[in-house]
Amino acid sequence: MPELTESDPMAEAFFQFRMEAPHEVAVPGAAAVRRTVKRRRTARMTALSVVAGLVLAAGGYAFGAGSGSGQVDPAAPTSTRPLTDDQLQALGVQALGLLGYTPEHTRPGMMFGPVSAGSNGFTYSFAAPSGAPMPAGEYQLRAVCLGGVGEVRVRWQAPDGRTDVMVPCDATIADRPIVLTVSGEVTITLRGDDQAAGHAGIAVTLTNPNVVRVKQLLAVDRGEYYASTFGELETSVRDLDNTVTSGPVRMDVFCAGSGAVTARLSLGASSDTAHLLCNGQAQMVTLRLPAGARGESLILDLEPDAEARLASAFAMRLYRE
Amino acid sequence: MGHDFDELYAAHFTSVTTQLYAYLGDRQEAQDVTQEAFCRALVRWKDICAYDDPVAWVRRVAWNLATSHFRRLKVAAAFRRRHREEHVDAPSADRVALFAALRTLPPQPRQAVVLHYLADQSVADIAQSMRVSTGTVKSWLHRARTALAGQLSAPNAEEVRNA
Repeated sequence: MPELTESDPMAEAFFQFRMEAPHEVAVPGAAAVRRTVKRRRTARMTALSVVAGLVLAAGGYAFGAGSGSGQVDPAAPTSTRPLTDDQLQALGVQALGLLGYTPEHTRPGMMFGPVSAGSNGFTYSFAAPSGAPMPAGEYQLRAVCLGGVGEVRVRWQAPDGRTDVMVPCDATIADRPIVLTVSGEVTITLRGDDQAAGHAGIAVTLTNPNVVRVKQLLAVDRGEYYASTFGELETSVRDLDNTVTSGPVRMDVFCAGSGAVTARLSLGASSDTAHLLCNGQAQMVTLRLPAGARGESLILDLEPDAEARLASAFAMRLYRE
Repeated sequence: MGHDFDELYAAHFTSVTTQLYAYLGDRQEAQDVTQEAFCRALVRWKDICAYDDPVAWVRRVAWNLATSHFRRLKVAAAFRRRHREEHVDAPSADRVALFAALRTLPPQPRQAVVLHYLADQSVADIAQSMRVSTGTVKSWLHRARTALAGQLSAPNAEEVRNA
C-alpha cells in the first residue's frame, strides 16, 4: 500500500475510500455468472446454427501472411510483444470459424486475417467481387475479433453513407444489418486500435451480394404464389415439398452470380429440366409440370457448375396452377 | 491443480470492483464491468484456471472494458434489464471531492492513480500493464498529485458557508 503521509492528501482520500467502498459493493455472485454464461452459450449456439444453414457459396479473400498454422490461445491475456504473422493469421482463421466458415470454404463478401501492428493501425479495403457494383438491399455485416484486448473499427463506406461497427477483440460476434439504398461500390475498411494491432485476428462477412440480387427478384410481385425460397449455390441443392403431390405446377428459378446451373423439377415420373446461366443480373427460367403429374413430393434439384459453386445464389418461386 | 472459480470470484470481486468504482465514479457500472470480466473468465476457465495468477486475467479484461467507452456501453446494455433499483446513502463530501478530483484527470493518468493507490501496484507494474515507460507513470503520478492536492484540500462550498 502506498505510504500514508500528511503530505499526500490523495493517499488519505484513497485510504478512506478503500475502507468504505467495499461495504457498498453489491456482489451478484458466482451463480449469477454461471447463469449469464449459460444463457449466452445457448443464444450463441442458436446463432451459429442459423449461420451454418445459410452458408452456401465460395470465393472469399484472406489477407495477411501464412496459412494459419501458428497456434495461439485467443482467450489468453495478450503480452506486450506482437504475435508472429502465423499466430495472427491463426487467430483470423479461428475468427472465421466462429462465423461458420473455413479458409478452404469462402465466398464473396468475406475477409479474415491479422490485425497488423503498425503506427497507423491496420487498414484493408474490400470492394464487390469482379468490380461489379453491389446491389441495393439489406446486408448483414458480421464480424468477430480474437486476441483478448483492443478493438477494431469496421467501416462500411457506401455511396449513400458510412457506418462504423466497433468490434471488441474478445470473441463477441458483432452482427449488424446495413441497408444499401443505391447500387454502387462498397468499401470495407478495418482499423485496429493500438491494443489490437499486432495482437489480434479478425474475420468479417457480408451477405453474399448475389443473394441480395435474387432476393430483389423475389420482392417483385408476380402474382399469388405457393412457396418461395433462396440461398447460395455452394453445393447441389435439393428442395422437397411433400405438400405438393399433384400438378399442374409452375416454378420460376432465378440465378445470380457466374457460371451456370441445371434445374430439374420433378413429381413422380413427371419432370422438367432447364439450363440456366448465372450472370451479374439475375436470370430466370420457368419449369412446368402438367395436371396429370402425381407423386409423394415435389422435388427441385439444382446442380451448379464449378464456377457457380464459387459465388452464385439462387431463388425459386412456386405457383399452383 | 487449477484454481477454483467460485473461490477466485469471492476473493476478488469486491477489490476489482472497488478499483473500477474509483476510476469510473459509478458503482453500478463498476459492478457490471467486473461481473462481465468474470463471465468471460468462466467461459475460458479450463485454460485460465491453470494460470499462476488467474485474477490478473480478470483484472486486465475488467480494465479493458472500463477504459473503452464502446465496450462499457455493451456491458451496460447486457446488464441493464437485470438491474434492480437500489437505495444507497448519499456519498460523503470526501467521496464527492475525490471523484470530482479524479474526473479532472485524463483517462490514463486516472487509471495509473487508481492502480497505484487502490491496487497497490508499483510504478513498474503499472508501466507494464499500461504499456508505457516507468518515466511516464512517474510523471502521471506526480502531476496528478500536484493537481489533486489543491482540490482535495480545498474546503467545499458548504463548508465555506458554515465557516
